Amino acid sequence: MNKPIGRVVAKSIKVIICLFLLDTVFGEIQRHVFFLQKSGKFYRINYTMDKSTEDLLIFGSSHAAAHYVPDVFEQELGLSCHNAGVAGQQIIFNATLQRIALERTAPRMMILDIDTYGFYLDGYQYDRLSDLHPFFYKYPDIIGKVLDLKSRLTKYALKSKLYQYNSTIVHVLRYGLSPQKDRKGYQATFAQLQRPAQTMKDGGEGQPPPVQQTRPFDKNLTAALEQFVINAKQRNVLLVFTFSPTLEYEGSSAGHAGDLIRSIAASYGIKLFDYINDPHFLGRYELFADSGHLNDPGARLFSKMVADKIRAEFPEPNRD
Amino acid sequence: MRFDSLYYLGFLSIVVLLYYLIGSRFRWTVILLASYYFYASWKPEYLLLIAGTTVINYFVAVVMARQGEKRKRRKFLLISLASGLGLLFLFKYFNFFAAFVHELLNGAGLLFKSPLLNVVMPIGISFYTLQTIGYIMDVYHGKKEPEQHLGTFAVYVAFFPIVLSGPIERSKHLLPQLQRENKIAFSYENVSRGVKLIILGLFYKLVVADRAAIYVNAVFGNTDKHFGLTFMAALIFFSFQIYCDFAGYSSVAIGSAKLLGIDILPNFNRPYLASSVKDFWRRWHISLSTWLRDYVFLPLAYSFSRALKKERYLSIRTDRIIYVCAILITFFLCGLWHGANWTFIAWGGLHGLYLAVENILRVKTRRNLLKIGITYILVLLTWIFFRAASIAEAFEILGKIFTKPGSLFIPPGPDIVAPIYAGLAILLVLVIEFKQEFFPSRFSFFNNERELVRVLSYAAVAAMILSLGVFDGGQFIYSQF
Repeated sequence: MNKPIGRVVAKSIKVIICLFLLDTVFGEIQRHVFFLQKSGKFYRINYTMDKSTEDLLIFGSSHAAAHYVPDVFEQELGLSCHNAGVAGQQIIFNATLQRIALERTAPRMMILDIDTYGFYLDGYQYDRLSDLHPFFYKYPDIIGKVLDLKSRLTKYALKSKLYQYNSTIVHVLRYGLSPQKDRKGYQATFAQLQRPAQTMKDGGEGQPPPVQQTRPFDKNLTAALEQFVINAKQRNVLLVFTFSPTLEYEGSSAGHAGDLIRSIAASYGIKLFDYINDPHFLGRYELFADSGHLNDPGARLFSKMVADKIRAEFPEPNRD
Repeated sequence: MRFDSLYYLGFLSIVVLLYYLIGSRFRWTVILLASYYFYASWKPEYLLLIAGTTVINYFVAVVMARQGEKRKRRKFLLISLASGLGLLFLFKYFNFFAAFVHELLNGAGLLFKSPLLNVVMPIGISFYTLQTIGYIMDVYHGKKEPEQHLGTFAVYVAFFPIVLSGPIERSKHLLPQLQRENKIAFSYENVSRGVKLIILGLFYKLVVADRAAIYVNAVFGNTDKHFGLTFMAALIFFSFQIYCDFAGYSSVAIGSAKLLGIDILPNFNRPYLASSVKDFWRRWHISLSTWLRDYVFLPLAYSFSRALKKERYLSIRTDRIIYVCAILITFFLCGLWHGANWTFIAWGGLHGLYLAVENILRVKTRRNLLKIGITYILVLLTWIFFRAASIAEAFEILGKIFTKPGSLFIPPGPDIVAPIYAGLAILLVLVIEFKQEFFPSRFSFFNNERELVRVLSYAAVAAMILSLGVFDGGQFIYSQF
């Protein structure tokens, strides 16, 4: 039995050495080109973490990225602004991004655009935390704790450099070859949604779909939202919650989760601007790029409305 | 515990270590405990079900074998079939048939409240039920002596590499390997082959299937928003998603068993290079197709041949009538086995129809690229029914493919990378399989005579998995069946 064991051990060592070499060489190359990016999702995340010094930071998912035009806020409020919204990411990711940014900078104001569907116990938010992997060794303590929510083994898997930069190479090439225009993080869309003959969901005008059924909340997600508030308060950052506008009527203004977020906002004294079912956007196909996202004209109108409301609620947010 | 998780790799390492450390007489205990632990990691309650199935079939087989006459043995066969198929019906098909009956009666004006069961289907039940039925049938026909050791039989039913999604093993093949007298020595060849199969399986699953799934799910999740060209692209992706998902799973299963020195039946053999649908079924889900052939098709054909005495009916040769009837029923059941939905029945029915037509037209399986292409397209059309949520949706997609090509959906922004990765990965799979099919002895990497090339091959595939794999992908598709 010793002979085959010896062969297996010898071969395993050779394979592991080869894998280590491949991982080190190609991982280093990937790391190098990854942090050379000048546009794209990962560049924007890196910018928010390491470089953002603006007065106003906007957090959230693709809704935040596509709905808040920094130029409009700068013009209306006189605050420099960066849109830190990341497509597909919800509260856990945003709280992590905010915490890392706050280690280095203290903006005067933050807006957190909240997707009400992002608080239920369905696990998809944890899968998307892989966007944090490339930054793990920059902020191991903060990111490590968050990745533990998904699996305690992730930190060990991240010893592999290739795994850290998993699936990023085509992204790097894509934005290297065709860089995005820098709009201070804002993801403009210029398409216009066509009005269908009859709306798909409600089956006709004036028939709101039923209110969402009650589903259990994920406590980690509500804790992350509270942590977001606490982080902001600790650095004396003025914080505002928003619900983005919707094209189609949503029963009871996003139902169950909406109530939870409203109660958290109220308990910490945070203003919440609710634009769900706002008549300026409801059924206005010309302001939407798709059924969930505003296009550029829609985003500019919305940004102006939010800025006006901020000005009304906080008369001089740019003053020290 | 999923096959593509670090937990499974850790679990497998511990099992392999214990297996070879312990004497061969007690190895069954290691595998049985490991198998029950693995199964319980999904839902512990269902351990009772698999244990119950084991005990019933063990005693039925032992008692049945003692009966001299076949007539007496049939009674025991029916007990086993009723218990196995009864549980399968209860967990998998009851709600489907209840809803069907409800619709029928309501259509006829008879109001009737459908009694729906609120149960979750036990994972792997479709697979281990077929495996135990195969065993009981073999004992009934006297092709296999009943297994006398309950522990060994329990391992046969619940063997962890195959309990969730097969390959569906045969008693004559697997049971002798599990017996205590079978002293399996630790061998370099088994470990080397096992590791290679596990790595390749993970590559198929994580790099190809889960990557293709991103585009497929984006399209099939919004069928009303997409058109023909997009559906064609999504279907091609889906054909490789389901192949690489299931072949990847099978490869990890076979590799895991190989580490324990146990051979498992192959399940796939480059199915998209088949030159006819008949050839496709020799290469696709081989363990199921051969099971259906031996335990459904041949018994049906045999009983039809006893019933149809004349040489021709309506000027059609009787053997052809028998084949067509038996193949249509077999593939109807094949579809139904996959899931309690009309879409699966349509998928199976379509394959049965293809095979019947091929038989009538006497299609030869001599290989050329045109035949391979035609076969692939025919199979691709059936995947529409397999993937669609309903028959109506499948016809809507078919209609759009033939009448509304529209423009190709290209995911916006950073999401574009998913189909690019998937396309490249599929291309790589095609190159690998084309090479294996047409140049089996050339350009060999894993079996190269130079050790450096062999070692680098393992390391390179592992590096590709780390670099390109989707680690947040979904469950293996066939585990839901």
